[in-house]
Amino acid sequence: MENPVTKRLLFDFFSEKTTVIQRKLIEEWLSSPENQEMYYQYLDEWESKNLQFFPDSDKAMQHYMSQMTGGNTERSVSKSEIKLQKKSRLDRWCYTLIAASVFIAAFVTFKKELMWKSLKSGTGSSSAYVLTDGTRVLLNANSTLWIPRFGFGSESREVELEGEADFDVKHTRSNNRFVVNMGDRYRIEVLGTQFVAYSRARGKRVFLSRGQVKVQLPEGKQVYMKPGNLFASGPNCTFDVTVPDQPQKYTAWKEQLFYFDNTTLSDVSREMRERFDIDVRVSDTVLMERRIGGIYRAEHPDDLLLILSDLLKVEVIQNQDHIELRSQTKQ
Amino acid sequence: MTDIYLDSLENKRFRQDSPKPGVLHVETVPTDDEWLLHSTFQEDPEKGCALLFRRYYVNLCNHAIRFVHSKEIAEDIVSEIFASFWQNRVFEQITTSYRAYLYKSIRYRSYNYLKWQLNRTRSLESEDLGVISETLSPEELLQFSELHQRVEMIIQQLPPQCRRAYLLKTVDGKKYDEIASELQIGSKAVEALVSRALARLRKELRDDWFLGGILLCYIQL
Repeated sequence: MENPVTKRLLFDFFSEKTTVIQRKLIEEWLSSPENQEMYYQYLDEWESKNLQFFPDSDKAMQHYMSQMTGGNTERSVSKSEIKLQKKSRLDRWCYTLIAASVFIAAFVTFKKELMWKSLKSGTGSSSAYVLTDGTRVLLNANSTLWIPRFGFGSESREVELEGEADFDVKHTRSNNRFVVNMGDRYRIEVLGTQFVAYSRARGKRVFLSRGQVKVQLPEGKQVYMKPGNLFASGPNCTFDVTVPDQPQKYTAWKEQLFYFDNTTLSDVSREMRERFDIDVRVSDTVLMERRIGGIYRAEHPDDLLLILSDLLKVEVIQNQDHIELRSQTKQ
Repeated sequence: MTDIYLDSLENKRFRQDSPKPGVLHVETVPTDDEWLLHSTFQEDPEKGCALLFRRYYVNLCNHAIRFVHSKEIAEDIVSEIFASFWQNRVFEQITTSYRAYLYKSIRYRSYNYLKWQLNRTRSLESEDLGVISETLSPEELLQFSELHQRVEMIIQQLPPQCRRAYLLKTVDGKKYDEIASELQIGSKAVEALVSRALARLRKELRDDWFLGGILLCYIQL
């Protein structure tokens, strides 16, 4: 049977030269799987004839080879060559295996790095950054901010936060939103404003200094915050918006301060873990419930440990992988 | 089967020789290249992948760039598909030709990227590369072609300066200040031109029903 759909017609279609009636014809023709195969074949052929750019396929090929475990680097093609290559393959086996495993490990580990740039603060110290759109970010210790490598600023402004940071968002002329993703489908949307976002294992928190922000919650709810408001996520998607009496508590870290207000020692040790990434353990349950208050400057974990030992009369024992706080033995 | 194919073909020869690397195929006859690939995959999958890569890499990049308008992204997309082809042993699972599978995956992925670039509502990370088994309806097959044609048309209709800035930025991946000195305008102006181009793309494609999500249910790569 004469087939009305020819290669020529499909080429015309790919080049946008067909009429709607011809399109209908192609559509009918495509209903058979064999013809769908033909479609891709002609598409490939058409691409060959209409090349737009010439990627470095040798380089890409080498890359691909090293990606395959036990890959080899020959430009293999014909069947006769395949046989010859089998010998030389053994020699290269070891090298390529090593190269490949390193590459795969790198690929798995750094997949995110391909699309996102990360800003990090060290453990124990905060770091200040200015993003390309003029937004100022102060990253608390032990925190990471991810920024897309492509298109940040020009169209949308979207970042991802692990840890805690103070944002002073620049209002752009085009009024585009600034979005902070905090994981677990919590996100903050703002125009221009200043706020502190906290996103760690313990939960999510947003403290708004000025301006207005919208917090998107996992189940689709939205919360609009006013200056001075504190948003805190609770378990099972619950949340609280309050006006804290002592807002300094949420911004103290910016001046390397610890703000304690009737805070239990177990909470103190957790805060130390978050900020300094050190493991502080309190073995004694009575001691764990001891409370302290006050604002303390501590740039280094030792500063705070010294204060604690003075204040609570505790012994600080440095173990190999953690620090132990113990009640002082009575003299 | 081949008889049916050959009916509509201008070329009726059945070529036994293998496709040569780096040489673009002016004429392709159905089944012969895939036949060689099939037997190679059975003997040595790694060799098969290499052969497949050689054969389709340039063409697939050229197809992807029609959607994403960036050399870098196009190459990334194609490389990712090939990586998954090997890592997930996709070649053992597909029922179509390798070519059909590759083109289909490239189109999905490019479409996803385009959608992500214009919407930015979903993270790209969430997609993992599995095997695509869904068959497309004829309508959808055509829509993919029409999508890149539409992208092309929108860009062609931009004012010349705007188009130039957009192409330098996205296709060549140049920095704003590089483009600024090339076009002899301020770098702020370049930024504005590029974002105008993207805004136009977004607006025009959003009106398009295609990006509205008809295909969404299929796009679970």
